[in-house]
Formats: sequence, C-alpha cells, structure tokens
Amino acid sequence: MRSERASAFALSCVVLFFAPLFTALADTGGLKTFVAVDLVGEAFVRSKVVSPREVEVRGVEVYFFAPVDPLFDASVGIAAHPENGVSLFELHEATLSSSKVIPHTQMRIGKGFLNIGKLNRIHQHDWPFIDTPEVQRSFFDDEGVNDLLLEVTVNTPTFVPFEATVGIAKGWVYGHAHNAGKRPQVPTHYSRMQTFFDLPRGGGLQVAGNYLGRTASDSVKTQLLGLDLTAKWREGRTVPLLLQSEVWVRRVKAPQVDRETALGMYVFPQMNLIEMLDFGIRFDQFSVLTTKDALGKSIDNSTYRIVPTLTHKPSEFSTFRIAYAWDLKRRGDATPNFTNSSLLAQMTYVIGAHPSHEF
Amino acid sequence: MVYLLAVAVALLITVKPFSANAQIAAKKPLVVTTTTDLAWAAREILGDAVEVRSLLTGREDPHFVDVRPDYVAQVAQADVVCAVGLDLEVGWLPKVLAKAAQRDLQPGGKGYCDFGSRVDALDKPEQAVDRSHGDVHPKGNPHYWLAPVIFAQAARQVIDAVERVRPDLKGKFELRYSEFNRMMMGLEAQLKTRLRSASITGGRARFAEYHREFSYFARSFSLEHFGVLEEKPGLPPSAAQLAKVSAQMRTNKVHLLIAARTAPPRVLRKFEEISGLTIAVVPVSVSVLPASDIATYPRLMEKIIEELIAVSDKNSAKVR
Repeated sequence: MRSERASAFALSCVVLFFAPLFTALADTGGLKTFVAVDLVGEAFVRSKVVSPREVEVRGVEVYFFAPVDPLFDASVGIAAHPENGVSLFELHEATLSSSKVIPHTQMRIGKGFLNIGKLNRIHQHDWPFIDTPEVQRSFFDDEGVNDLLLEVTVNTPTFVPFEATVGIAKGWVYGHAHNAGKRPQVPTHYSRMQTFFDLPRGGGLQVAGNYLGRTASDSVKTQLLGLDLTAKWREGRTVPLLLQSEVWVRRVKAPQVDRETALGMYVFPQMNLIEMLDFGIRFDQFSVLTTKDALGKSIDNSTYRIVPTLTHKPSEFSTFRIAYAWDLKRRGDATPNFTNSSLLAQMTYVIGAHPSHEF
Repeated sequence: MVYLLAVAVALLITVKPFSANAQIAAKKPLVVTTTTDLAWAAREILGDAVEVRSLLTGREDPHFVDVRPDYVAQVAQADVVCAVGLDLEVGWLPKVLAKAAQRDLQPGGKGYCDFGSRVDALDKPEQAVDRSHGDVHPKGNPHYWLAPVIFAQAARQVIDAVERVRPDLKGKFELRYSEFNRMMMGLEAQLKTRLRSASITGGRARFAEYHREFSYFARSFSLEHFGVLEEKPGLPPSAAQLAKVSAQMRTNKVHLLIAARTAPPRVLRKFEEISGLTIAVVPVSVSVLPASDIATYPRLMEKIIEELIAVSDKNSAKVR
C-alpha cells in the first residue's frame, strides 16, 4: 500500500511538472491537452448509514493526445480520484490507435476504458447526470471497466449505419483495482453491435447490443448482456430532447454455488427548458433475480432511485447541476419504501482542447 | 470465446461487401459534403459524372452538430469529402472522419476538400483568442457561401479533389465550372440590382446582425455592417445587450437586423419587443427537406433578398 501511494505520488509530481512542458511543445508536435475537473457535493437529507454531507473533487483528468506518425494516434490520460481521503493521479489511458491502416476499421491497443455500453465509454465529467446509476456501479465498478486491451471497431459503409466492436482485455482485474490481480482462466472479452435510425424532425436513435465475458482465476464465470439506447434531437446549441438508457443482465457462476442473475437498468429523459437550462429525471432499477427466501421461494429485492436533475450549461466546456435523489427498496411483495434521500450538486469544467463527443 | 468467434464471423460477412462497394464507387465517385450549399455547388459543377450527398439537411446550425452514426456511414462510402472549412465544422467533422476510417478522406488526404482554403477570410482575429472571447473562429469568418462570387471561387476545390481521386476525369469539369462561375456572377449582379431598386439602399444601407455571419454577404451586396447583437460569438446576448444595441440602432437610424433561422427565437422575440423593429429572420442554407422552397442556391439567395426588402420596408414604415 505504501509503495503504491509512493508511486502514485511520484506520478502526480511528474504530471504537474511536465504538463506545462507538454503544452509548450504542442505547436511543434500537434500535441493537444485538456484538463477536466469534476466537483461533486452530496448532502443527505434522510439517511441512516451515510455521513450527512460531503463535497469533493470527484475527478481531475489530464489528457494528452496527438498523432504519432501518419498512421497512428496516441493518447495518455491520467486521472486523480479521492481514495481514502487523498487524491492521487493514476494512469487511466495510454493507447495507440489508428483509423488509417485498414479501411473502415479503427484499432486501439493499450490501457483504456472498454468500448462497451454507454456510460463506460464516456468520461464521468461528460455524463448527463451527477451520480452513478446502481447498474453501472454494480456491473462496471462505478466509473467504468478499464484494462489493457486490444480492440477493433468496424464501421460498415452501408445504407443502415452499423458499427461492430470486438475486444479482448487482460482481465487480471475487473473494474477499478489497485492490485495486480491474478491470471484469469478466460480473459475479459467483449463486443458491441451498434446501429442508428433517423427520427422525424432531425432526431436520431442509436441502439447497441453488448456482451462481456470473463472467467476469473478462481473459476467464477461472469457474463454481461446489455442494451444501450440514445435518442437525441438537436436544434443549434440546444438539445430539446434527450433519452438515454441502458439495460444489463449479469450472470455469475461460481463453483459449487447456484448461478446468480441480476438485472439493472436506468432511463434518463431530459428536455430543454430554455437555451442553457435542461431538466431531466432518471429512474434506476436494480434487482438480483435469483434471491430466494428460507423456503426457496423467489423474493423481490429491487432497489430504485429517482433523480430529477436540473442542468445549466453556459457553454460546452462548463456545466452546473443540481439534483435530488430518492432511494427506494422493495422486499417481497411489499410496496417500495424510501430509504435515503439526498441533495446533489455538481460543477464540471474543461480547459484545453477537448475532443468531440460521441452521439 | 465462442461469442468472440461468432462476432468475428459476423464481421467477415460485413466486411465482404466492401470490395463490391469499392467497384461501384470506381464507376461513379461519391462526393459527400457537410452542408447542403456545398452539395448544390458540387452537383452544378460536376454534373452526372458523380453522385453528391450532403450530411446536413439545411435545418441544422453547422456550428453545433452531433457526431451521428449515419454521418459516419455516409462518409465511409465516400470518395471525396468536402467541408466549408475555416473551422466551421471543427466540433464534429474530425470525429466523423476518424470514425469513418478512410485514410484518403482525412485532412490532407487526396479525397479531402476544404472549400474555405480558397477564401480570403474576413474578420480574422487580430490578437490571440481564447474561450473568454466566445466561439471565435481563429481562422476567420467561415460564412463565405452567402456571397455568390466568393462561393464560386471556393467551389473550385471540389474539382481538384475529384480529379485527385479519379485522374481519368481530369479536365472534364472545366467547361461546367466556367458556366457555374458565370452563373454565380450573374446571380450576384441581378440580386444587387434588385436591392438597389428597392428602398433598402439609398446608397449603402446599414444593418445589424444577430451573429457575425453576413460579413461576406454585406461586402458582395454593398451593405454596411453596423453591429452584432451577440455580445460574444456563440453566446446568447443578455437583456442589457439587447437594450444597448436597440438604442444604438435607434440613434443611428439603422432599421434592419438580420438573423439566421438557427438563432435562438426567444432572444429574437425579446429584441423585437424592446426595439419595436421586425427582425429579418432568413434561411442561410439550401434546404433538402421535403416541400422546401429553398431547394437551390439561387432560390436561397433570392429568398434572403426578398426577406430583407420586405422587413426593411416594414420597419421603415414603422419609424416614419
């Protein structure tokens, strides 16, 4: 633990020392940089288990990206998150990629977030809401699954847009881990098949099916199947209507233990109120479908979260959000009960050359 | 791993038609443009020798566009990609090009055509700009297509790009381009005469605009630029700014404010309330949407001029 902290501290020093130098070199090597800061506050109005108030810098991301040569591009991303009260930088991304070697094909190799689902592919500061849906927290370890990977994405030049991604990751650990992990029996492998439909009045609908599998060193086999959906209408700077949703099923099978199946989803519709102000409401659901009572009868153990969110976006480089979250829990056939409620606030800003976002 | 194999097979099936597509493309090159205006020019210049498609439909604001997967699919099929340039599409086109993964279509590639590189840009910032100045285009104003003659000069780029990807078509478009150039010069002269004969120009008429996108238009049609409603480019003006510009226009007897249809309607309504003037809200791009009355560039320019004359007359009557 001490050596880990020491290396993270050393990395932080390197980042802070060399960042201006990298920026100064930007004009000569095409190097671009950006820094994104994500400040989040949460005040529990009703909670039995968590501390009442907390404000913290959830993340500071420093990214460098540039062409390496006529065929390849590279990016390095270093992020600091608070862990045990201390924010230290760690490597998030170090990839070499190319979209110029094989026609219609993008390749990526190195450390990065897997190109799977919706939230897993977007930096947290770019999410359209403040907190993490339970499905993302449980299945993708909050911020997302990040690993050493080899990934290929093919865009077909067809009338109906179709994009297919297949990838394989080292899989010694899964999600956010600070240890080396162990050699898995089957490394993390994943795929994403995406298509797109034109909607009336300039809208678009992107739908993707996803699969992820892995068998850990202790023979625990995990499989994830999911669907992500984004529908968006844009009018100039504003997005009058956005609908984002993900539904995932996870099956985990450990030796000598019954298979566990869990289902999680979120739906987030958001509408524009006036030019820079949006209102959205997120509905989350998460259940372990295989939970049984003492008599072996299936029992509903769903948790729900409802989060109305107000977003003020003065420009594409800064965002202010405020939200109120209600947590509910159902046990058996009973009506869901409120468990926690909290007030959330967020401020994000980006300095430097942030690349374009996905749809 | 079975899943991976299944995916690999699916990919192979998908990839196979590429070669067939490539053969078709070799017969008739596909030119994909970002905006409808470029597509219109490309069709006029290249005729039936090529197929031309536009990513946008004419209703969007090309400054703010999403990286839509259907754009990626269209660019992936293209032999030539044409952009307005001068950083107008900087927020989305680079990502579309990267995702389409066609080496020749990346900036600098033989199939990439930047109309703006032939334009002597106006409104170039004289000092270094950053985001505190708003959405400033560091390379200058990209809205040159509203000036017919300048647009025609810029459109020459598409010939060069098509000839680079299809050397067998070299020299085949020169005659068409000369005719196109003449037609655009004629259009500009004709519309100028129309403006001159209307009450709008008793010399050099002055106008204000919502966003600085009529600079080239003003120069071509001998209009005098008075000011901009936006305090900073790309950011909606405050109520105080609306009142300030309104007062300045009244003092200086400027009765015409032009805005593109993509300007925020709420702000425009507010300005009309404050100033008592009617704003000339005009289309700034050819529209390919069904039942559009501005399906061609000459019709678009006529529509702008008609709108300016109508609104100018209306406002002159109001202040009289």
